[in-house]
Amino acid sequence: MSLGKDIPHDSSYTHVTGASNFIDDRPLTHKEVYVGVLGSPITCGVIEEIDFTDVLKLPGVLAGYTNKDLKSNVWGTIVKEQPILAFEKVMYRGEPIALIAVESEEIILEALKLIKVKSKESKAILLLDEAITNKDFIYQATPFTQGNFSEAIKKAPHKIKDYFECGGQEHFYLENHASLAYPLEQGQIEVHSSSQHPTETQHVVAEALGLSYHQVVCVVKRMGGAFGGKESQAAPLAAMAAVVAQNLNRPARLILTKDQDMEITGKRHPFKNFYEVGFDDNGKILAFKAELFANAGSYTDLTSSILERAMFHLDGAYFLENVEINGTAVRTNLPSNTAFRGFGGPQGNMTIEVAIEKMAMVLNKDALEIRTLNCYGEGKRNKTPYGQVIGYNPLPTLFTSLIDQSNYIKRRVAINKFNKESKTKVRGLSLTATKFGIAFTARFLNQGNALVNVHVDGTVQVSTGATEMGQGVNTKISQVVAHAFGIDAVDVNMMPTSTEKNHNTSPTAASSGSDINCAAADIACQAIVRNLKIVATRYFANEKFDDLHEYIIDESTNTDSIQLQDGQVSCSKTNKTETFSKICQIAYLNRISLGEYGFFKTENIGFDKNKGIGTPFNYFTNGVAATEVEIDRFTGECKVLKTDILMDLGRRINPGIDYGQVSGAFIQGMGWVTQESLFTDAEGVLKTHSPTTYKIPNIQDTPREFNINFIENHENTQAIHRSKAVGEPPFVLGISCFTAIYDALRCYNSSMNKDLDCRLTSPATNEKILMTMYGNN
Amino acid sequence: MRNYILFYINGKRHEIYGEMAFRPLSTFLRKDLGLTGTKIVCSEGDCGACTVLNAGLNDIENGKLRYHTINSCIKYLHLCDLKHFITIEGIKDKNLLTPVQSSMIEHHGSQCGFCTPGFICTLSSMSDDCVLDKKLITEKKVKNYTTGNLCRCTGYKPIINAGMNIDLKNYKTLSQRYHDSSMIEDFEKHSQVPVELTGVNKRLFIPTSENDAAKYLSDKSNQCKIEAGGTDLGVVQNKCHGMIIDVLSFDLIKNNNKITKKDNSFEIGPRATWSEIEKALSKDFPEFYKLIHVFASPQIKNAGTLVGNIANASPIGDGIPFLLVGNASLELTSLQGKRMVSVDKFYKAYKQMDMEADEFISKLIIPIPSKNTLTKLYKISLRKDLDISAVTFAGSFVLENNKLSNIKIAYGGVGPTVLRLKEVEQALENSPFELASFEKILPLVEKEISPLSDHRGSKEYRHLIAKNLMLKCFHELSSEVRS
Repeated sequence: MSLGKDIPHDSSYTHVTGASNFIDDRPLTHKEVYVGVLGSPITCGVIEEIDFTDVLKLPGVLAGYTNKDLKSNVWGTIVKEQPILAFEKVMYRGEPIALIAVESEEIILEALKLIKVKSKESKAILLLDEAITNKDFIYQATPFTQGNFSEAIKKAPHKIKDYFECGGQEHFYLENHASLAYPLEQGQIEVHSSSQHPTETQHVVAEALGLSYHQVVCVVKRMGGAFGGKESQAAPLAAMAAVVAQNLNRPARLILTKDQDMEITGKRHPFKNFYEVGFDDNGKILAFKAELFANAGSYTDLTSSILERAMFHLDGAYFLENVEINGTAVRTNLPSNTAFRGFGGPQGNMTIEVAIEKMAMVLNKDALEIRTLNCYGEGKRNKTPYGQVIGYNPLPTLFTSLIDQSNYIKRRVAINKFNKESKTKVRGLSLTATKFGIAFTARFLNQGNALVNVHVDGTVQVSTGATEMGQGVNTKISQVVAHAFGIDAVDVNMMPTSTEKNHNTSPTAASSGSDINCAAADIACQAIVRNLKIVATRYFANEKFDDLHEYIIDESTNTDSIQLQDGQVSCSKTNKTETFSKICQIAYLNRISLGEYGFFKTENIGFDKNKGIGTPFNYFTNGVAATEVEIDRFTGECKVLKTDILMDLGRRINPGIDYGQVSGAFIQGMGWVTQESLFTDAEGVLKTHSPTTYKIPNIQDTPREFNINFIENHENTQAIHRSKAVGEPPFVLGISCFTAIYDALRCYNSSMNKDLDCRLTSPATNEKILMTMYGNN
Repeated sequence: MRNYILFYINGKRHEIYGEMAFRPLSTFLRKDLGLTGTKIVCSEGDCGACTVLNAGLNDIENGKLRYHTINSCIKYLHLCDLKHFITIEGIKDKNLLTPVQSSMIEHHGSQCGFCTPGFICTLSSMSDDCVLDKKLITEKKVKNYTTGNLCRCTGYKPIINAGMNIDLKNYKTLSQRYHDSSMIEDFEKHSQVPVELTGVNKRLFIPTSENDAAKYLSDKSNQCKIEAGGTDLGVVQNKCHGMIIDVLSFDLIKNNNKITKKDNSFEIGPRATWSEIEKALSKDFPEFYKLIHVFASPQIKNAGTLVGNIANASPIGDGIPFLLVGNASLELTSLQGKRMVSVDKFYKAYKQMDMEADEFISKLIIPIPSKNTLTKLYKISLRKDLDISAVTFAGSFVLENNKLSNIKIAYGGVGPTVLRLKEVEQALENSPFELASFEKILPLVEKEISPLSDHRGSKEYRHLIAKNLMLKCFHELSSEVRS
């Protein structure tokens, strides 16, 4: 049995020995060149001329390219509006405008400085507020409504009208964007790309080069982290490498530096969300209205879907009887913001969690009381603002269990005592939840295919559209395949993702990589298993096969007595057993196919964008987290003392991999709300473009005590082997660090006899915390 | 004279000539040797993906090399003379995984794998140290060793689990496995011979004596930069190019990394690394030790020097405020001889020092404070560890009969250089040790500093922090005094 087993990541051996091959680890091939990318020197305006005269004199520089060298210079996942190389109009500082092909990587920086650019700058819009006033909207979503907000708010005993702001976030995958294009025969191109979406990369490369899709293959062996940052934005970079390869007929390698990567590529969308909430003395939410504004940056990219996911997750874990949710995305002169783990969900969800903190300030209550009071119910109070009814709902159980496991009540008392006594520190505690919708909200993306090839020695090669970025999707697929054939997972090899084997695939995103690709692989496996069982039935019945007789696949064959387990194929009727490999050989000798292509689509989902109503999600993944923080009263420095997480991940395919997903997502979420601060100056120059200035959490920032547990849940029939998607949902739990800081501020204000109310924007850096404590924010 | 750099990688000998010496070690490993396990992410020594282990003649213990981690992306080959490097490819013991590697596999310490080689190297250095020092692995140790390794996938918890569960009983130290007395002899033989090497428009001189160094500096035609650990110049070279042209390195001057305690003071050689200083000063300077602990990663502290930090003259140099209030002084050497200058008088304006072009810092002297001296050091940054400060603070007070005297207060990050707050000091002199004394001088703090706004903090925030640190200092000192 390989399902449910804590087997190591399928690349772990090569990872720990340094033998894993990433794109820039590929050996240089004959005549290979490097590609340098020149970014726009202005934030907004017109590029009038790009002059390569000087740079071409530098030894080792072979050629320069601009938009004119592309057959098509436009791409865009949702709206085709984004140039690959901007020319007349540039939209942000650092936007790629030209390429150079050089013989040595070491001269790229020096060479780029020699390109002369003539440009005319015009006024840039950098701030979200400015863009809202300016009304340059990229997208306005259809509102979600339920009940009657305007009636309910009138009757509410308490009302808060405020806004919540959160910042962007750099993905900070360790492997920077990388592409390597090999020119093949007859103008064909093979491109290796650090892409979560090989199919889109294939398409964008083909279009940029004036080729048909069947002339381009995109291969993805693995990525050194992606987190959404390589979903759409890998494609234009691959096209840049490919256009050089095509023009020079030489392999071309494009590896961004971290600085360039951060300057060029988009980030998590900052949001400013206005809200109005009406509630009673107990903290029951009677009416809620939200107006979300997403900062899209320069182009649409994936913004409309991200905005909608923010709206889908505004409710968080809480039932909103009378609600209205509006969403607008605005354009600014920043890199085009893009997918990032959670895809807008955290920005929506955080709004209501913060609103609850404000309600706690008004009522001077522990916010947890408000959370449990408003939590979605089982069988009642279970309809979302967009009309989807929540089926099986473990949220109430999760809340109750974690309150108990984390010793919440006792700790609350201890914290109150500590805050009264300490002159130098103040502590806060918060317990928040995640209810994350699983499925692409664009229904057509919920499909996948897999190719399963069984060899005559009983080992298996599997190819799917899933891309491995560290999340362990390949390990899970290999476990599902091994389970289907009753063999060991080491006998299943996951092959590099390639568009020649799996085409029309969806990005590995929306936490759905495992759900979709495991299911597609399983469908392929079941077809082969069916064949093998028929072969085994005939073989165990001593049916003859030779050059004159052979087994045929008769679908009516009763194979109920055949079992595939532990590398053996056995028959309960005849009590005979044979090895899996032997049965495979017999199948082969009888000219029976040992390869299958499986196709899967997620059933019973669909959302009407024009009405704002429907069933966008296949199911929800839920979890809760309790976090305690300690703040220095003099410096605003914040430490996370303890976090307890309780997740429902259904029946886990690989507990160890899921544990790592929860831990990693939580810390990423914690970083987003506490310390990851993007700073763009008034000219539109990103000042935080490397780890010296952009601080993702390091090992010392992790909670002093960090516990992750799971509940048993075998009820999720919606996903492969009753598992649940895990990638994004725990990211949302990082918000508990932010709300714990809010809680500490409430305690601080109370201890200083100040007005309890205050407003904190995310990320809650030391500076913001301190300035809020001193009322200077 | 020798015209090449000598080092070993995974036990194999390499001689490096000419222009080749002016490339980062990581590039040499990846592009020339095809050892692509070492990864490059930030090229500024801030992420740890390029971590390798190294040891040289200063790291011999019981006749064997003791290995430390460094960032290979900012370590240029001209600074690699007489070192043995172990890369991720050299970690496996023949064909077997080490307990470090198998623990990382078993505990899912690796997801995407890009940071993993760096973590393996770091945890290997921890395991070597634990076995050699007969210490057990603790959670704190795992965290302290891996502070300089960023991981974006795991949230570190699985790595902590992996680190805690390394089977030390079956761990063979790299020190033992790579022991090769002929290599050490090779280093010793070469250490007697100065290096002079030229590349395309580039030059390197590694003298074996202070006198030769002084002579080289006195020749005005040499526009050289003195390079110590290269933890700053390596970054500048990677990001700006063309900075490393004419280099003078002190690597072959014997005993210049020595730290000696005499007459109530410590004398620190110019090539003493932060790690060596951290170890030597832990007992006598607990506050400075705490600061060193958070200010940089082990990789940086194993390469960078305190004297380099002083000579770099950054207004946010983390070591400087303490030296200013701690009466530290510098010995400057040139062909004309030696002279002493107090660190307090050393900085004249932004990046301007009381040091002539032909002088170099040959020694740092830090007196051990008297028993009744109270010291407090603070470093305020966005991230607690390994972050450039927004504001730094150093306060030194003599407390007698509940009265404060000999007061020295220094701040970094609030002006063009690290500043002493003379008016504040005067106003506090002879004040009673109570909150009111500190509250009273806050307007003076505000007056004496002139911070700017940047991505590390606004002007207003720095003003507020500067004032609050005086109060924090009082509260913490008074609780220390009470206990």
